[in-house]
Amino acid sequence: LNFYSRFLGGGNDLLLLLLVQVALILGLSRVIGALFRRMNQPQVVGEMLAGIMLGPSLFGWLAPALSGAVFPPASIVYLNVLSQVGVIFFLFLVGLELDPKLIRNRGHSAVVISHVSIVAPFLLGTALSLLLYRRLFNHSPHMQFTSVALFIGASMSITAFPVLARILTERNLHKTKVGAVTITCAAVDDVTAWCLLALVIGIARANGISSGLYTAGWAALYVLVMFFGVRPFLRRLQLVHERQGRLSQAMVGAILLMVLVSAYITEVIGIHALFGAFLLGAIMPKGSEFVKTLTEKLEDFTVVFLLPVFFAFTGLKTRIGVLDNAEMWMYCGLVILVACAGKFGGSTLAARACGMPWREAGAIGILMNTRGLMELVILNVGRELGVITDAVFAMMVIMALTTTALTTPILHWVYPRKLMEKEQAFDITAGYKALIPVSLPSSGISLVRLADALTADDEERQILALTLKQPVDRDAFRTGLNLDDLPEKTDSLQPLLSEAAKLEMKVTPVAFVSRDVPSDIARTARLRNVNLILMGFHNPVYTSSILGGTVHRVLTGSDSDVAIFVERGDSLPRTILVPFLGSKHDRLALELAGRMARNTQAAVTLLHVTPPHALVSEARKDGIKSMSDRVFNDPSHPLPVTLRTIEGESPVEVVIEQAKEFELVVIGVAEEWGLESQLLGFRAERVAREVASSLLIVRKHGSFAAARGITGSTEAVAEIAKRVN
Amino acid sequence: LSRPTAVYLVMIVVLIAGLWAVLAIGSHLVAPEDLAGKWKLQSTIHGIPDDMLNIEQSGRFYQISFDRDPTHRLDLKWTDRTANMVHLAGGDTKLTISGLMDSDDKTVELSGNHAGRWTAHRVTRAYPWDVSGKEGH
Repeated sequence: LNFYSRFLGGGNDLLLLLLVQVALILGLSRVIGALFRRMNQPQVVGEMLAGIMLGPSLFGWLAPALSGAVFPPASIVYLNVLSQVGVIFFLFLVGLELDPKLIRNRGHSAVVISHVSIVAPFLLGTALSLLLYRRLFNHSPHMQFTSVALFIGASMSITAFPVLARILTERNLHKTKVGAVTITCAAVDDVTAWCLLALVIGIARANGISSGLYTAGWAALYVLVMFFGVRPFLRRLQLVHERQGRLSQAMVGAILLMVLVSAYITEVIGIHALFGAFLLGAIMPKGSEFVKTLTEKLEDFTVVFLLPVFFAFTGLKTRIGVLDNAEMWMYCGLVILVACAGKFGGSTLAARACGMPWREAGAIGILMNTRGLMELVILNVGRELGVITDAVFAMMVIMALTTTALTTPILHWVYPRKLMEKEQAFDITAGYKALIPVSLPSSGISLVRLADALTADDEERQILALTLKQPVDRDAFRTGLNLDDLPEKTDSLQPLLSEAAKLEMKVTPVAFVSRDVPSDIARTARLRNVNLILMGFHNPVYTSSILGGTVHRVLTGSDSDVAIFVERGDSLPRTILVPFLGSKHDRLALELAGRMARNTQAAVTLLHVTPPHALVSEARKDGIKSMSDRVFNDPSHPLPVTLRTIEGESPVEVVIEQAKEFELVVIGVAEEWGLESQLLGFRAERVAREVASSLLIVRKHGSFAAARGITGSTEAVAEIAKRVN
Repeated sequence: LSRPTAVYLVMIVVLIAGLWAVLAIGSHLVAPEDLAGKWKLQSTIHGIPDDMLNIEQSGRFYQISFDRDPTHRLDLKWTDRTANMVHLAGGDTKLTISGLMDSDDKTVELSGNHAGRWTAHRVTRAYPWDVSGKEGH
């Protein structure tokens, strides 16, 4: 302990202690949060759990002396101040994120479901307090039955909008009917819950009816002043921002000051500082760059730094050890049960009553049951007010964690991904389909030109341009959700779509949020019955292999043919080299070269490399000839092709040497060419690195595409290939 | 009347009736007396030292400890209230706290391991007691 004390400044240096505390909180919060993310759980569940782990429930239980040295009671005051400031700014951000468009004109059903999703848990919560009041609450001025019942009701009816929106975007549900209804409900819940909380706080703090009316009167007046006095001023700030084109420090300072003043006023009125911060954010004019920039400026520090401190503070106050007997745990189970019955049951039944199928209604119920950190915010307010006891606080924290953690797995079960995929599946009878995943905007142009060169002769061709957005990093708060986001408006697809328009080519843009890009590329290709995935390459971060990392995972994980384009020239090739040894990948290379030749009149040379002095049988020569004839000598549209047989020890050397004469090399993935797909390949592929011309590296996934009869000449080519081999 | 409108009307009726019923019934309920906090004990029996008693309470559930042996925690449960006496029990231990309701001055009588009888004065409360909600913790 002496060692710890020395390390912590002997317990006298509060700054040193605070630095150690915050570093520990941040470190653990990031690690556990990342761990939960990997488990397909919202990061915020991990962060909440990290906070509890630092408290008496784990750290204090396992190492009481060390815990006491790191978090001495005297220092908790400072953590409390930090966490309170954090929650004030967090609520301001929540208000900023509140978009009235999500609530307006969303139809009767959405309004009904949203209100039932508040009323049902609220009523069940108040009814539960009839049972719990004499068992888990103390007789004190702040724990009068009315305050307790309303508080339990309000805390049961909360929904964590940010967490919910994050789950929806990650599952690409936000543009479905389920997603749209749920988002509306959650947005309504957000506003209602904070107003309800303000009401409960007002009642809990009021000393008689006159005091209650006084608080209500001032609160109403304050809301009016904010809407009709402060909001116009905020609009002016927005105009200044538009004129200046940036958010100056003076403006940021002014807004921070307004947040603090608003929080101060509502605290003085008696409806808590949080409501003032939330209200200021909520009245901020939405849909502008001003709000976006302001959010970006504030969110990192608030969400990454201050919120984990809030979680830790909550954890330090959560003593799960208080629940030390079976009866207490039974009450805890009951709290969870009632919370789920109210929120999940209420939302589900309301959605069903409004005519939605059971499965969709159930999905809405599950999503609405997500409480996340919003529950912790409300619980801390209740604890600070003295409306709930330590045991009830611990039970409600467990309930918040449980309901949030259950959302994703139960949603997977009730509303499985394959169900959505079924709805999204495309007609498989249409023409040749190419999928172009685009990450960097600049790479889209050459890929769409290449796609045009490959498919121009197919009148029924379908070209899909896909861009996958990574989920925003700060999932505790930011949702990345914008219902008006259209794929064609996505920045990374703009150059591609402009080029397609020039080529008079119809391209369907597809954009969604993805946590696992390679898998989602493969999944999209499968859903849309794509023949060819045509993608650029990016140097993997940790390896030197072009066919490693993401490319490797697409190559090996997709059921479609894949072509990786390594661009080293900006015009369409007039000469194409196809190194050929007869593998199925080489045959795909030949087929794609044939397609390009048909559409661009490019001259194709088929390169066959044999060992020195090897006798090549006549049958083999005939096989290669027949194969190229089948691809190139279509009687209706014959194409020039040259067969070139070169003797060489190393096929790789031969290809590099021969490629000098050509503008494009179309080559199959094969060990002979030194092109092998490896996730962590550290050997740079020589052909890919040393060939000076552009490269199209292809990999055939024959069974799937051929079975659908999509690739035209593939089966014929395969038949001839038997003779070659 | 469309289906959503009907659902909405039912919801409003249920809300008003339900909330009225809950608050009406709840207004007759009384929670266990708040004894949580730190109590200064003065022994009334010769040979038993003065002490500090810490009571953590959530309704009928209590965790108590004494400053002279803080690691030893007693888990007690409310069993009865007679006149001005609150009876707690857990394992072999029985604790009786007597005095006026909500008063900070009580008499504490304990049987079992830490047996003794004391007059007790509450030094701090665990839960806020003033109207502004800032006291305690």
